[in-house]
Amino acid sequence: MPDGDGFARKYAIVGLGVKAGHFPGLSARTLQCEAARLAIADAGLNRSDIDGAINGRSAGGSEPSDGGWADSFARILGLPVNFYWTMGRGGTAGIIGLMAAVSALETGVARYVVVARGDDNWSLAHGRFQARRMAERLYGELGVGNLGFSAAASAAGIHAFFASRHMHEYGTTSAQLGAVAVAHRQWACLNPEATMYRRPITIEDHQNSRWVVEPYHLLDCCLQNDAGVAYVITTAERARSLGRPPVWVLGVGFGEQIRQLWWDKTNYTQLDVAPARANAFRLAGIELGDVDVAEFYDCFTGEVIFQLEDYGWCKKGEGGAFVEAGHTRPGGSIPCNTGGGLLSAFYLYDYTGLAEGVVQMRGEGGERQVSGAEVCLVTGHGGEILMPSMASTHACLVLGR
Amino acid sequence: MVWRERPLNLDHDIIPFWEGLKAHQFHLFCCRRCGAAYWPYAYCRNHDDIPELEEMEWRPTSGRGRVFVFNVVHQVTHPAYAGEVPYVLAMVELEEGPLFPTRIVGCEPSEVSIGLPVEVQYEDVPAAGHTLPLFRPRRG
Repeated sequence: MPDGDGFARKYAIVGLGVKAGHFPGLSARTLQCEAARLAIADAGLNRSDIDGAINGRSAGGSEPSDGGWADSFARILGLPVNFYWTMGRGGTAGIIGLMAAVSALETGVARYVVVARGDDNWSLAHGRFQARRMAERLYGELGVGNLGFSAAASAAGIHAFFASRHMHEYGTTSAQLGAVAVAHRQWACLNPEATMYRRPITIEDHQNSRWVVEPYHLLDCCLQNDAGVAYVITTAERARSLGRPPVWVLGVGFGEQIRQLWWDKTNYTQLDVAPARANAFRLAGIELGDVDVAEFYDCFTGEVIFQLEDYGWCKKGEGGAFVEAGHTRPGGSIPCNTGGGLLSAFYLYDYTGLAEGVVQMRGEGGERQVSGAEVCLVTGHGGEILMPSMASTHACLVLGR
Repeated sequence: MVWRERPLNLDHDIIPFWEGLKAHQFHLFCCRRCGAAYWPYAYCRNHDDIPELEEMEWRPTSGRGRVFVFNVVHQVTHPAYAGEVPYVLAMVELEEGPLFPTRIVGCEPSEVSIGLPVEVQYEDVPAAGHTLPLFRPRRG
């Protein structure tokens, strides 16, 4: 199959910075700065090389988790950029940032763009900002925003709806959801950087973990932590002259289920993979069988089952059995979330999967490296946690070595 | 603060819905051309020419429906809700078509199932000057 529009391998990720864990002294902004600093150094570049900066975050405007600041990581780091953009939508921010970076590189607006995100969720929940956090949560759960009523507006509440409906329609079981958690934990146990490194779990652990929002147990839910991730992206010619092996952008695509929300009522058992996959695979010139490793957006266990079905690794409704059969775990037919994912490595939107995709395509995964992997799928998912825009967006990125 | 008393922060567009609740009426945003009902606020999707806003109006509707999907909250994100767990959040499929997010009250969580017939329960909150649209199992 020919490459779509000659897009594949025109741009490459050449630097990666990751800082994840518990950092009570650091703001979201500083974590973002740290990640950007690390990514620039990883690329073998200096401050003066960076001429574009993108703050790819969960919403386009200011948001409480950023302290509502209009300030930028690019200013704090002193980057001599031609532009600084804040953009994003839910858990697709990293891939949206890539989309914008590619347009800047294509038009010559920039030569090296750094895309970064930081979050201090753990510190907000546990530290001296707890009171502020609680005030935000009260506002959030009531959803007394523009629509005035949004009874389920928490991430777990919204995503539990998806799982509940999938279980109702297809007979998916809690144990099958648990199989996702166990598989991702198995990967995390091979990743020294993962929060849950060397902390294996069983299906029984999953079943015995407390309810958060039924049908989701604690072990169905992603981690909460402080984290920053950044990457540097540039053109092919520049990428080849740098020290690190280029991780090629092969294809990208998006899907949006706003049109289906609440009227078609189809968005409870599927994500809008079809248009995202179609464009990304067309650009990349690949078919599903060419994907060697998948870094799904795994905010909750159900989303992994949906995506395995929606991408076509199994039929609709059979994702639970597919995971239970071991296809996604180490040694399986389609290794998924090889660093442990949002469930067991660390949480930072689609940046977690994007970072692991870069590691895999560089062949630097150590014990968890998927041998011979050449094509990696990375997905993003989400939207504002305010009905009715709940989790309606999907992003698909194909990386290659 | 009791969560029910939390002030509403409403868009201009949604105020008629909340005014209707105070009068114990459940309004939906309806198309004058074809009668299709919407919640939340939306332009009618049934006409490709995108109707003018004037072709839409708020109309009182049944306030009845069935549970389309639900979950049971055990871990709250704010202490204001802690005394109420476990409680049921649901999307109710209204008889007129739209889905509506709400709580199911007036029964045990174990009594809620997908497809359960429900109706609106108007909860007046005098201290806040608003009425909340919760839902309960349909009587009779």
